[in-house]
Amino acid sequence: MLYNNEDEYLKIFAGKISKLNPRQPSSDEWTAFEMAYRKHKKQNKKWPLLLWFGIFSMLCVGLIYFSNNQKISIEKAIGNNSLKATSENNATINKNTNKKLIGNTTTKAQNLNQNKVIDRNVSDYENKSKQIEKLKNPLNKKEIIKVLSKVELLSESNTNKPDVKLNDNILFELTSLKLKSFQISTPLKKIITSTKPTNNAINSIKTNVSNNITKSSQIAKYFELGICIQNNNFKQLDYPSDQFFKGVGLNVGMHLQNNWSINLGISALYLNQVKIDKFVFQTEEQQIERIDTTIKYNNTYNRLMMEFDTVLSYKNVNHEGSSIYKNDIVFIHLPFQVRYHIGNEKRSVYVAIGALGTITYQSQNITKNIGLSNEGNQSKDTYSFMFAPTIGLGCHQKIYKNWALHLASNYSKYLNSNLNQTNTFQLQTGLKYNF
Amino acid sequence: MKDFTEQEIILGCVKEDSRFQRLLFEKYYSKMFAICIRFSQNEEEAKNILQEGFIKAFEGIKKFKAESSLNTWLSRIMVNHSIDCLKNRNKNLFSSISENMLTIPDSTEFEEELVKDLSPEEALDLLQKLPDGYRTIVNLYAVEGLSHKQIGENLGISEGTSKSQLSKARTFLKKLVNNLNTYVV
Repeated sequence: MLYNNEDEYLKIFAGKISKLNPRQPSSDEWTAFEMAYRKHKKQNKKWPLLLWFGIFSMLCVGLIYFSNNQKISIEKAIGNNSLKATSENNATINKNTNKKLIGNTTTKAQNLNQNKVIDRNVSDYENKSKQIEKLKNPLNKKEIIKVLSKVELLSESNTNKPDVKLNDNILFELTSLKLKSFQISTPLKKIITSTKPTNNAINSIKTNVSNNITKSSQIAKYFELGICIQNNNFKQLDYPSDQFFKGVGLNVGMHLQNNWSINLGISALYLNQVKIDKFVFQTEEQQIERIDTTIKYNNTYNRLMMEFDTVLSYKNVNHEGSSIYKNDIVFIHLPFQVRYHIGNEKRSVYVAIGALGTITYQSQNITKNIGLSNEGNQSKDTYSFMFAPTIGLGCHQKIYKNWALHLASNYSKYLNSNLNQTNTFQLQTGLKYNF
Repeated sequence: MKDFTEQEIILGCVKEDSRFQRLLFEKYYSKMFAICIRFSQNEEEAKNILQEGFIKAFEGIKKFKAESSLNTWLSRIMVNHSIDCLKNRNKNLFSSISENMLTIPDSTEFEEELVKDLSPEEALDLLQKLPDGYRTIVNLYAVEGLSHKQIGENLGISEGTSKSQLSKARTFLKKLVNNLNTYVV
């Protein structure tokens, strides 16, 4: 007979396929699978850590690069007629400043020959400065203040002692800060030979140094050290829904211009908990009823024998039992935040947005009891990585010198979580130190 | 180990308890292997697909919401993963297979008995001899019972392509069946 109905042909063929005797698993199948599964899980755990490490490294590099750029731009902004506070190269007075200082501090009787000598010496110094360009290091606020104090002292003494060589001292002070071990073939003292300080020169230096202090404060770095408490809303069955973690944290950050700051941190939080799950097996009558129902169900789908075996095994079970879950969980939080501050040096409020990477270590021990007998313990350690966008609110209150009190709250919503954790609310308190 | 209901097994697997994972693995191994072997060319390939499919299942079981039976859910995973494997192996699943048809001798008649007389093992052997694309279409349409529209969505092809591929697959299969019987006789 020829087939006119093509679908019927395929259906008969498919029917033949469906009648294939199912292949039963051999004893080694599970072992092989378990090994493959563990290997897969191990591999899967590695890449989020590597990814986060990569992101963290990039942020650090970005931070350093941005920091350097800030200094360079400030240096440019100060201009040629100021002391350059950002490098050893510029730690001494530059060419133009020298000219100005010399012009201001020498008498009108200074002749052209003297100027030529000075120019040549300045030129020599510039050449030498290029060699030490790689050793650039910013003068910090304290050092600049030190120089400023020196200038002021000289200013006071200047009126009574007109022969004081201001520029020698300034140069010595500035260069000694960073260039103690550096050999300069052309003695710096020769650069200014017979200069005498004037009030104009001192004021000029003071103004420039003050500018530098102001600019430097805008890129001030700080750290925050404190304790934190965190509420976690777990959805997983092993955990009670709300849990409080406790821990410590450290943030390092940098104030940028226009009230912005960026912040990187690390914190560790810990939780230990015990949960007992009690369960009761069905009574024998219910089991029989269940068998009947299952048979009907299985008849519908032609799977009678396999399911029937499974259901029959209910006959020899105990009726009560419990599972005790003991969990130790450690969170390592790696937050990155961008903050906008409102206020002044004494007190400020900020809002923050950022991201939170969380490395989770979980050690779980499950003890199963049926009746009074212990059916065995099971332990497992797991690592995972979670990632969440974060918003935050915080404030600083100055308490003593460079120290300030820091309070903050952060809310994070996890995008991925093997703990079925959806969000985290964290409160932090601690101290902030401004460099 | 057979003292647990399906619900308990699922909960155990959610907790990544290896005892429950083993229970689920052994309970559904046969059915899932039957699916994988239909989509594969040989038993070794089927084993690999099955293993990867179970790994996917254990990783995704937390998302299982019991809207369908566990059997259906697992079957879906195995079918999808089989298709993915085939696609990865053969980017052009539905091209360059017409030439293969030339190697099969033509036949004018297809007796009903030819198919009816096939043993399940012979049917499987013929199915595995089909090119990947044809085998996938026959599986999805005739065994899994999907419509051409659903097949198109699953494989990322148009409904028309699905129909034409099935027609070609059917012709190819008939030739294989007829050829088998020719040699037997």
